[in-house]
This record gives sequence, structure tokens and C-alpha cells, in this order.
Amino acid sequence: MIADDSVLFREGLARVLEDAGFEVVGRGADAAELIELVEAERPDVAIADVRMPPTHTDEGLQAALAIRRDYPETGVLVLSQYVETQHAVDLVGEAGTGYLLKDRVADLDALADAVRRVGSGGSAVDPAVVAQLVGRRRAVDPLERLSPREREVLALMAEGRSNQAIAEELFLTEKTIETHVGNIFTKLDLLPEPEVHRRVLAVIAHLKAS
Amino acid sequence: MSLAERGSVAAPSRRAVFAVGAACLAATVLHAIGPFLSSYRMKPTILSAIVYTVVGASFIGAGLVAWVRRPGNRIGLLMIAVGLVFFFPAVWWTRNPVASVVGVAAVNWYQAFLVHLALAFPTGRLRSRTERIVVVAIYVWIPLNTTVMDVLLFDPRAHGCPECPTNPLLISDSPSLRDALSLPFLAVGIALTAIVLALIYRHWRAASARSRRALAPVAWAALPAAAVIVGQNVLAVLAHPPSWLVWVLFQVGPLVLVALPIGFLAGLLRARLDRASVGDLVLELERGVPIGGLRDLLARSLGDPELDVGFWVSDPGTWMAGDGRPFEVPPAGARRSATILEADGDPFAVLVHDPALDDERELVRSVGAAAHMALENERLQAEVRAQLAEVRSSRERIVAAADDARRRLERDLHDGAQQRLVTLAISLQRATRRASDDPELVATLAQVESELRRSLEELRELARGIHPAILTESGLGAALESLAERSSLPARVEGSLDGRLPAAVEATAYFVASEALANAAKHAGASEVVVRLEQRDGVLRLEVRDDGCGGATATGSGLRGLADRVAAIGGRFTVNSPHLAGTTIVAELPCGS
Repeated sequence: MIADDSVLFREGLARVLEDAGFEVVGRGADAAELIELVEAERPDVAIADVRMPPTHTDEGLQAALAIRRDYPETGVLVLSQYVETQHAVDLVGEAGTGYLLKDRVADLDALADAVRRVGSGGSAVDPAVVAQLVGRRRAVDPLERLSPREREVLALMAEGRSNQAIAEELFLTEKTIETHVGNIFTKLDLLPEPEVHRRVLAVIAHLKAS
Repeated sequence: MSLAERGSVAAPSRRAVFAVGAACLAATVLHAIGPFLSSYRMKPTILSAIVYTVVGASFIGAGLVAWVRRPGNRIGLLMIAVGLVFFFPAVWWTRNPVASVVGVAAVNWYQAFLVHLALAFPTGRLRSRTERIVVVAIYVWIPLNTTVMDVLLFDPRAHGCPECPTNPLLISDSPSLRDALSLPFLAVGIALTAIVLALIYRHWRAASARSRRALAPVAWAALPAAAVIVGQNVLAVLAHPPSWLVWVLFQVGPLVLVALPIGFLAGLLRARLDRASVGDLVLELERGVPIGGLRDLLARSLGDPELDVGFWVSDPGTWMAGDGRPFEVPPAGARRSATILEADGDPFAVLVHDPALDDERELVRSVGAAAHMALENERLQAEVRAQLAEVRSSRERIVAAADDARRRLERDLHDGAQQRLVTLAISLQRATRRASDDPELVATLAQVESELRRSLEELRELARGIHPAILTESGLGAALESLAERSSLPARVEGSLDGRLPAAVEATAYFVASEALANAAKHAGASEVVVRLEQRDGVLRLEVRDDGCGGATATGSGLRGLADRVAAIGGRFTVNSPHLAGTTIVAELPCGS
């Protein structure tokens, strides 16, 4: 399910997703159409542009939150030309949501991975959002307490990856990752979160607030 | 300038005054001694001859004075008419049958002129169609009444006046018909009297303080006069009035009517501007007028507390008030009158005043002339204020238009170039997958892709700089937070706002913060920047403070531009940047809530 007010982009994205083995069951031009399609088709994932008619502000975001509330079996991936960390915080408060920079559609593997994660109730946060949160200049930086490896793990965790995925990415064992995650939570004074999506929210909210 | 000319009537020529005066004198003398000449068949008592002559002469005399002193006002001529019509019934004393009959018919006609006078006072004009109809009805009704009762149905020869001339209009001397008609006639008389009293009451209620000054003497004089006139009318319909009452009401009573012309004249002249007040005005003007105090001073001089002053602005050719706002000059015939003040044939100010001053435009103008310099001074100030207001609003419009253009440009980029490049990236990616067996092509495509990604990033930064989407989407707080996150210096946002602010305020605050952060990063060598937001009493206060080396000046081109932007929406911009002690930039923006 795809909603974007540009036909060209919508169709291009649909073709790429079909290439990757997804079935695209509907295409809409605005938030209202998207919600109607979700109601009719009950897809696994809906993909929406943040800015759509009529106001061209954040109706995609509002539609995503509405879909998560009313159709819990449908995950939502929101695409945006700009990354705003606030949007990411608003979205990942719910499981089964993702927030990606539009450019990411050109990287089919990353896109497919995000769609799958969102579809299975996980989270997907664009690396650019995480980079901005982690890389933010702070007068007093709590991240200084982390080792470079722990920072890498933190960033991947914030993107919404599971321990297994992080382990694969960094060529480490899952056990090692678990140890790193435990250390990160302790060093940042966070309570451990067993669920992956709650972990994303905890980490992103912490980074956003500090 | 027809408005200015209205009501300025030249005084009657000396010759006209003499002619009218002489005619009136002749009428008075004839009335006084005529009946005692041999040709008259009957003589009145000396007492009543004196009383009636004094009353008529008092109206004529007061009327002449009013006519000369207030030439634009009909009241003087109306008073003269009352006096002459009051004399006229004396022709009844002659031997001529026609004159005798006409004299009888016209005996109370002066009362119609009196009603006209009362309703037209003090301007000389009746105020409405209703009033004109009532006055015409009374002009007709009074002689009709006497003609029917005392001419058509009454033969004086049959009622103890054998020497009276024959009544040529007599239909039949019928006491029974007269009795039958007396009640309905009385009813009409009472109804008309009630209507006239109601109209007069309404005049009093509607009168401004200034007009009441004119009405008061008349009101006092009218009380005894009305008592006598009503008494006479009641007596006329009684079958057998007591003779002493007849003597009192008809022989001596009319003397109280003398109070009326005196009252009318006093009211008219009292309403007239004291010429001395112009002198006082000149003295007060010499002492100096506080700014905005000129209106009060003129209001006092003209005795009109509601006086309004408007000024003429030749470019763009409109009237405006002292505060530079548009000023409306009431049209002729409105509730307030306007007198346009001119110098060298060009209007410079307008006084909007009580219509009671209409007859004294010369004096209103002399007050205006006395205050010319002070008015001109206020006019120039008002003009400057109006120009300033115009410059301010045009500056505000220019900034709003520029903001609008930026917003549009950002949206065009977002929906156009950015969207197309992303779509292009998708196609490129599909092409790369297909070309997997040609390593050279794959390498080229990978290069194209990386160039494309960089273009997208650059375009994104460019669009954000033109107008950040989040500002429109989520407001100033979120936009500043986003700005701080991206800052190359550690930056914090403190304070928050409830709800959204006008777009111009949000955009201005954002650009101030953005420029200040960029300056701090570039020049100040600061280690931290704090952006503080505070909204209180309809003012948004934005403070950007760094702990850098200071020494920034508000005249630097970047800060100068910010100061202009802030000023354009009516705000204040200050830079405090002591050497080696950090820089604090404060923008205070009115935000209406």
C-alpha cells in the first residue's frame, strides 16, 4: 500500500518493491485515500509521504498514527524529504512504525529490510535521524561514556535492528551484542527494555532529550 | 467647496432693513391709532389697544433685530410675520364688510405662525416632512375654524351689534349647528396642540447641550404664553364664559406674549458664539497647546464638547484624524455639520460640529482662522503619522511577500526537483540491478548514484535554508529545536510556546535564531549557545546567548538585516556583545496574543 501525491514516485516505488518480491495492493494520492485503502485491503504495511495534500504539512504522519490506532495489524512506514528527529520520536512511540528519508528508496536492501521490520511489528528509524541524534553537539555529552563499539551498537539499536541483525552487521556474536546493550543501558542510566521497539523508543527519547 | 459656502448668507442690505422697518412701523402705528380714526365704526378700549400693539410690536422689533444679527436664519422674518399677522385682525374695526369678515377669520392666525416659529427654532428650518405637514395643517386649520364658527354660521348683527357691517359670507345664524360643531372642532384643536407639544418635547430631548442653551429662554417664555393661548381657545368654545375671565384673557392676557419674542431673541443671541471666546482662544494658543490638546481647546471655544477636527492631506487627497487614521466628513444634512477651513483657497482642516452652529459659520471660521497655525501644525504631524503608518504597513507587506515567496520556492523544490531526483534514483537503482553482468557499467552507475545522492543532500540543505518545512508544519518551537540539533556548536533551546504564532513572527524569530547561531559558530569561538523563548503580554521574546568572544556590532551586515526584519513587523532588536564576554541577541516581537 503506497500513498504519495506524485504518481511518478508512487509507481517507481511500487515497481521497486515488486522487484523485491512484495505485493503492492493499492496506491493512493493523499491521506484520506490511504486510510480508505487500508480499511479495504488490510495490508501488512502502508507507506506514506509525510507531506501530502491538502495542507502539505504533516498529514502523512497523522495518517500513520491513525492507522496504527485503528488497524493494529498494519504497520506504517513514513517517508520524508527531510529528517526531523521530532517526527521519529512521535512515530516510534508506537510499535510497527518506521520513518525513512525518501532517498532511502534507492537502496533496495535497506528499504526491503525496513518494510519487513515494520510489517512484523518492529521499528525502522532512518540512519540519518540516528546520526543526527548521536552526532548532536552537546555541552555535556552522556555518549562520551560509551566506547566506540558501544556507540555503533547504540546507533543500530536506535535504527530498530534486533540483536541478531546488529550481530550480523558488526560480525559479532549475539551474546556479545547482548553484553554491549546491557552496558549501554547502564551507562545511560536507562532501565533495560526487553522488547526491541520499546528499546528504540527508550534510546531515541533519551538522545532527543539530552 | 459647496459645503463651506452653505449657510454663509450676507447680511440684509441697509436699504432692505429700512424698507421692512418702515413698513412695520407704519403697520404698528396704524394698528395703534387706526381704530380711533373716524372712519372706524368701533373703537377698542385704550387698554386693549395698548396691550395688542405692544405685543405685536415686540414680535416685530425682536424679529428685526434677529434678522439683522442672524441674516442666514429665518427666525427673524418669522417673528416679524407673527407681529404683522397679530395686528392684521384689527381691520375688523373698519366699516368695510369684506375687511370685517377677513379680520374675524384671521383673528387667531398668528398662532399658526407662532407654532411654525417654535418648531423651526433655533435654526429657522423645519426638521422633517411630518413637521412641515403639521405646520401647513395648522396654517389651514386655524382660519378654517374661525371662518366656519364666526363667519359662515354667525351674524354679529343678531348678537347685539346692530352697527356691524353685513356679513357677506353668512350662510345662516345657527346656534344649534355651532353647538353641534364645537365639540369636534375642539377635539381637532386639542389633537393638533398635543402633536405640536410632542414635537417640541422631542426637539428638547434630541437637543445637544449647546442647542438647549438656545431653547431654555424660549421654554420659560412659552409657559405663560401657552397658558393664555390655551385659555383663549377653551373660552371660545364655552357657551357662557364668565366676563371677568374674558377680560383677563383677552384684554390683559396677551401681554404675557411679549415674553415670547424676547425669549426667542435671547435664545438666538445666546446660542450665538461669544466673540470674546475667539479672543480667549487666541490668548490660550499663544500660551502653547499641548500635543492633541487643540481639539479640546476648540471644543471649549465653540461650546461644543463633541467637536471633531479632521485634516486635509493633499497627497493622496483625503481627510484624516489627528492620529493619522482616515476621517469621515459628514454629508450635508447629517446629524453633525461640517465647516471646512481654508487658507489661500485650499482646505486645510474641517471642524465637525453641532448643527446649531450652522448659522455662525463665519464665527466658526474665525475660530478656525485664529487656530490656523496650531491646526496646521497638528495637520503636519497627522500627515507624518499617516505616512509612517503607511511605510510600516508596506514594509510589513514586503516581508510577508518575501516569506511567502520563500515558502512557495521551498514547496516547488519539494514537489518538483527533489521528488524527480528521488524518482530518478529509483530508476537508476533498477537499472543497476539489471546491469549486474557488466562491471564497467555497474561502476559508472554507482558513480552516477553517488553524485545523485550528493545532489539530493545539497538540494535538501538549500531548500531548508530557503524555508524550513518544519516551521510551517510544527511551529517555531520544533523548528528551533531542529536548528539546535543540527548546529555545529552545542546549542540548547529553553522555554516553550503554547500553540502557534502568526507566520511572520515565527519566520522572523526563526531567521534571527538561525543567523545568530551561524554567527556564534563562525565568529564567536563559543562553546555553547542557548536559545531562550518567552511569550508574555502579547510579545514573543527570543534571546540567543553565546559564551564566545563578543565584540559583535549591530551594524554588521548580517545583524543589520535581522534588525530590519524585526523592525518590519514592529519588533525590537538588540545586540549586547561586550568584548570577551559573550554575545546576547534579543528580538522582541509583538505577536498579538
